[in-house]
Amino acid sequence: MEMQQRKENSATVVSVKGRIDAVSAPEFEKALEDLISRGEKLLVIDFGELDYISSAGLRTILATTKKLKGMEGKLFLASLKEVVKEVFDISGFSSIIPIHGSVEVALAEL
Amino acid sequence: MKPTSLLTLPAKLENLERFMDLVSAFASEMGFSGKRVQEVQLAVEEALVNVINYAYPEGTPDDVEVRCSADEEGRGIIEIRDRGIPFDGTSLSDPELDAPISERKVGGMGVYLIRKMANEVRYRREGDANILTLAFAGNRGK
Repeated sequence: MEMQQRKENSATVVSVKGRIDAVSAPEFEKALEDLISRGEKLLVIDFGELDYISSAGLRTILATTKKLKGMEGKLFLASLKEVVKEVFDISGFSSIIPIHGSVEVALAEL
Repeated sequence: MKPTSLLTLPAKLENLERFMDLVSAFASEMGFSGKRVQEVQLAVEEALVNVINYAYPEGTPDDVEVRCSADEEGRGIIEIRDRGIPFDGTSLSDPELDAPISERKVGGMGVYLIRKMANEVRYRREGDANILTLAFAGNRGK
């Protein structure tokens, strides 16, 4: 898993490449926690180059979304590949986490 | 010649990648699509993580074995075997998928994903072993 971050006005875009599995999910979670503790509350997670996610990754997304909700922040997902989208659909997460077709659309919706 | 492979390693997170490589190579050899290979990996990861986290009480680490073969119908059969405390994931009920976000939990999601990704899931206790058998056709089909 590789991560990159960039600021877009008041939002932070986190691009994740590769795999979020039980091994890499803690690193992903730590990166999001660090952003939140620095005061970043509007997060767009760009999954355009994410090939794989397991329940460990879902757990991170859920925990981060709950945390942000308590502080009027938002977490949007963008550009999910088919297999990653499928995991969100099957788990029912698609109905509770906003998912957008592209980072640009997500930023406009924040 | 149908592909058969076997890997036995200590039930530790650091070994997950080697199991994933084995399963990925096996599913590819079965002629599965790239998407289906990922689905097979997902089911096996969730099963292995359950073994790694819960099968062996702290201080008594032991092995987990993954065995891949094909059945007569051309399905990929993946058996995950441990010698830990008895655990039948197939007996768990499905998580509440439409609960509001404040009440959503990820517990139980692993077993649910296994059920959705595999075409068939069977559990048996044999002596001191838990044996979870997952069957995969070329498509998830549900």
